[in-house]
Amino acid sequence: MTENNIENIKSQMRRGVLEYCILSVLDKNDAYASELINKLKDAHIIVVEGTLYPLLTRQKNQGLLAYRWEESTQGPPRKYYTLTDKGREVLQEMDKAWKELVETLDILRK
Amino acid sequence: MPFTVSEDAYNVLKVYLDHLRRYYAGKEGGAEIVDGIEERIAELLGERTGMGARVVSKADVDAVLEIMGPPEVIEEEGGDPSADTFAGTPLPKPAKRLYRDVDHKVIGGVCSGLAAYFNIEVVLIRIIFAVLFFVPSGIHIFSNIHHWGPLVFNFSWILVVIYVILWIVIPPARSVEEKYAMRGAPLSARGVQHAAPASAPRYTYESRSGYNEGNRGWYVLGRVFAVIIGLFFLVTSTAVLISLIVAFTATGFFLNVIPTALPDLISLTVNPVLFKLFLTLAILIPVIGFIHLGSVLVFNIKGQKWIGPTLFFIWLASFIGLLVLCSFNFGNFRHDARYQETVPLELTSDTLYVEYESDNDFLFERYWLEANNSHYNLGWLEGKREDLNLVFFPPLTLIRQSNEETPSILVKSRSFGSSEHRAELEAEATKPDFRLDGNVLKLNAVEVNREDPWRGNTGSLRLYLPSDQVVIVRKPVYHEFGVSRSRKVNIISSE
Repeated sequence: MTENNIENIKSQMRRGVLEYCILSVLDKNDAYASELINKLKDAHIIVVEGTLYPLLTRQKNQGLLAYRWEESTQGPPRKYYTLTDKGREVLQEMDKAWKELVETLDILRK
Repeated sequence: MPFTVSEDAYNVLKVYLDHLRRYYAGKEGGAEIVDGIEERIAELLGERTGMGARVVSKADVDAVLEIMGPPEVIEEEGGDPSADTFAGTPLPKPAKRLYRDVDHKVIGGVCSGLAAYFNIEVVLIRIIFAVLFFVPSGIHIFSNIHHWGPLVFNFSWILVVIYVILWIVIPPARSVEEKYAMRGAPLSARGVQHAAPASAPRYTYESRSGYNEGNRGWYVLGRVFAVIIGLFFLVTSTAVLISLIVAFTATGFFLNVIPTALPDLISLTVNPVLFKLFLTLAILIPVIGFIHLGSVLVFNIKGQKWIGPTLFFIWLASFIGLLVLCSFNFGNFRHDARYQETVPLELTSDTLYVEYESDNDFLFERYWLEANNSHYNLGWLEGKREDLNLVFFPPLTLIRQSNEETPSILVKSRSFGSSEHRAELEAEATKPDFRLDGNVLKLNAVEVNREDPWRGNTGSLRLYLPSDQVVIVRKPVYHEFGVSRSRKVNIISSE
């Protein structure tokens, strides 16, 4: 397996869980896009920031997220993202799926 | 949130955002995605520059775009999630398409576009085009294969026509996607930056930029007008160009460097090659200039700034060169002088014979003669069509006078020169040549050919003789003044 393919699979895996990560972050606190980005970057789940915006928009269109405009002390008003009830439901589903995946791997590794 | 952005930074940023905006145009929530990215870029730029306290440099933009990531990575993220697979396929390459590379054009960007498409050096394609264009003419000039002429001559023009057709048919690569599709290379943030054109005004970048379409109508109207004028220029000047080329090649103007019709006609003493070069340039450059102007107007290409002035200076130089050459030549005509000499004749008998002498044999089949009671004018043609010689004698006029006056002969000639003195010398040098041998007046012929077209044609002779003197032209065509009948002969059959 080439270097390229490994990188590719890694990025695909990361991408697969990125939406799950966004929902997880927003489950605790509502956040600005920049806060969200900083948390995800600190957790090494995203490398470049631009990729987040299509995901946020998609999740918003799916009704998982909502946002409200908040005045900022500096600069223009900013979007403040929050999880919807539907988003919370999906998050629970994902939590379950994640646990199952981890269990699967544990079983396989024994 | 206003930013003052340096020119190169603005270009990079604009290309980046335009690229994303174009990709997301028409997609669900597309505008929102790009707005979000734009806001984030503004936020990061604000952090780096102390909330717009200083001008945003290209380095700032580069760093921020590095954080945001290359456009195609972002676009991939927004794609249909169901299409995501774990197959190890690399980033999809955009389909390669043929575009004109207008950023690296010389004429229309056809060569640079082909080079980009086939991934070879532009110089190579240009050389091929130039060789195909010039070599046939070169073969034509430097070899004697004249029967290839029409074919070879047309070939260069076929090439020009092909080029123009390609120019019209192949679309220009204007957007970033087109520029990458032209090379078939994947997009990257760095690549986008390289592809950015380098001319845009210093700009106050705002997080949301408005787009003014108020002047659109006027612009379209102006374009229509420009295309009409440009087409007029193109059609007329192309027609003029073609007819000039046909006319010049037909007269052998370019091919024969040795004297041809034109310099012969005006009897140039100057360098014929230089004269032709200057004349050609002075005529052709305005035509080429109009073709260029026409193409700029019709195809709405950004004219290369150096073309106009260069053409103008070459034209000016040729025109001045032409003037200088001609003034050299005109100098020889500045002064004219007449030579006139009266030589007394000592007559030994009551009959004077006139004999015309020439190195060439008189040709009965190709001569002309004008003879009457007071005039005798004779000449003939020598040689074949390609190098004809004219052999003739200075016109002879007989004037009767009283017996008391001294018989004499008046020798006349006229010439030009760059100075009075030279004109006089020249006039004397071209005077008719004669000698009196007993009672025979011998006249020498003047010979004129291509190299020396005007020799001696201003000379003439007048005989002043008593009224009872018998004057007979003995050779080559007999004529007795006052006795023989008046004749006018003109037998100039060719070959």
